[in-house]
Amino acid sequence: MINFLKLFIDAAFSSNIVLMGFLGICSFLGVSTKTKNAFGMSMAVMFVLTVSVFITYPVFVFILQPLGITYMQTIVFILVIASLVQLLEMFTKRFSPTLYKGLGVYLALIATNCLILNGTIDASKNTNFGSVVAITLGTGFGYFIVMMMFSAIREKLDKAKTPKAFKGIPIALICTSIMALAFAGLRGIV
Amino acid sequence: MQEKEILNNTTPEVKERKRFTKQDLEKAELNQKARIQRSVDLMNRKIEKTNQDETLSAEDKQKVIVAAKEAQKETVKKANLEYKEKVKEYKLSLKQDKVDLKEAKKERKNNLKNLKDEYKNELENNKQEYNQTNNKFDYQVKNYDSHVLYQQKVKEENNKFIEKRNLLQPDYDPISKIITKGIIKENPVFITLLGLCPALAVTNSVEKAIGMGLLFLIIVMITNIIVSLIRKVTPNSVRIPIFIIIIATTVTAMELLMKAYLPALSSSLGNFIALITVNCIVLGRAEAYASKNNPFKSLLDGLGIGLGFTLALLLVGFSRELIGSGQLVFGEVLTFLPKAKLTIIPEKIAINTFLLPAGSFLVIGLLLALFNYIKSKKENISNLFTKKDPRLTQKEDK
Repeated sequence: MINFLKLFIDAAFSSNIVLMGFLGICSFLGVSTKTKNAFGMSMAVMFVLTVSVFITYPVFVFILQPLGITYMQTIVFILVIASLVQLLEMFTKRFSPTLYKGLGVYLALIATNCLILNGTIDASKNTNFGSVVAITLGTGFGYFIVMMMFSAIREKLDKAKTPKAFKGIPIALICTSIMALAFAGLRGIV
Repeated sequence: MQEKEILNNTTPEVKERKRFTKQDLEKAELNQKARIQRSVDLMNRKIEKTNQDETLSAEDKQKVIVAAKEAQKETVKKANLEYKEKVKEYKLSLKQDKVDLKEAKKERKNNLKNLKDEYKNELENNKQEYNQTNNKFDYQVKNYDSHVLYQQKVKEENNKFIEKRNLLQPDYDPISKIITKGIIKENPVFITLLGLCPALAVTNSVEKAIGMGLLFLIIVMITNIIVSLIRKVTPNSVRIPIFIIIIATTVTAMELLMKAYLPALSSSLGNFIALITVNCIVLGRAEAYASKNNPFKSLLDGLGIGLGFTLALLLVGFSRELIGSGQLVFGEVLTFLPKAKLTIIPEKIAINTFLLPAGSFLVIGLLLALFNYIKSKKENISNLFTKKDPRLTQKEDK
């Protein structure tokens, strides 16, 4: 259990997927202008990441490895993720229209989110399923935390007086840099 | 009055010629197909009718059927011949278009030259007048007016030419433009902000940046060519999955090649090689450009975008490594280069943070701000070179 917690905290904070791993930057910068959108996007990412890792891990262990075609993992994983996203979209539309209303727009964007593919590839390198679960949940949570913090910062930034050249993305990136410095300070806790 | 006359004289008579356009050709093709179909239908109907007719003997039936078949063949032949002639006409028209374009170019060149001569003459006249009257303000105003008139005429001339070119050559897209577009106007990192993930992640050394950039360049070019080659047989509704599979296959092939020949680079780039699959730029180019243009143009487009990406990564990697460690290391990751270490800043002054993740966000943010600044200043600089109306400045002085 302690091991599980350790991996979770490490994935969520000290090696945060956005600030330390540079993944999902497109969605991080694109959807974080409003807290509401950021919440929807991070929920969708957490959801799809968890489900796709739960599917690709068995596929890797029980199909690709016995056949000795592990080099096909990129192609297989991207196909699994793309079809999964499509399926999830149809599924939520049919059975939970409220969830679809919240996530629908973001679900379509997720198929090409590098965070998901990276999560599945990293998971396939791990031999222990328990730690895969911990890292996946931690990664999603880390993305959620950073998204919420950053969108709150950006809502304030909109009203701040920034120099003309820094308006928009440049100042957002510099804020991210300061956030990354703060998260780097958490390195020692685990 | 004079101006009008000059304008009228410089307007060349546009030769009106009936052009045989691509649309006409497509229409002709459709027409030909419909004609063949009609003739087949007619023949089938005739054969059926004769077969049902009981008054005719078997021999007569055969005769009628053979005659019908021959008649159908004849019409097909006729339709094909007519279509061939249409194609010929189209080709001739294309040739004529090229000649016309050449003439238009020549005409523009001549006209521009004439305008320039006129402008010079006018300036000289103004000067002579100034020598006689010694009225400096009048002289300046006249010079300014003729300058404005000259520029206006040049603009008109160019616009006229561009209009004509658009008519004669609707798919005008010169090679140099395709390549430079990817490097400056649509730079994937600094302008469209699509390739930020790898630009942030693998740029803590110049070498890694170059390796990633070149790998990306090759992948974009290959996928662009493949997508462009199959663009006519790809069903529109499933094109995105097809593109993704093509990209993933190319990336996997490159990944295996890298593992075999450049293991150091492969391990230092890590997951980011596989993640090129989901990079928005590659898919974006396939969707926006390669699926609509021929392979050669798509190749050039890939080259331009790849070069733009490589240069951007190089810029980020260079500034990060220089400020972060004070030295540039070669030969460590790209093993085919000779080993070298260039110390530029003493290590004591170097700021280590720039090698950390925080540094890359900072560097890209600052670079983006710098480009914004240059862009805003560019207009001011171009304003400096345009002449000012002396009448306005005089008012300001008063």
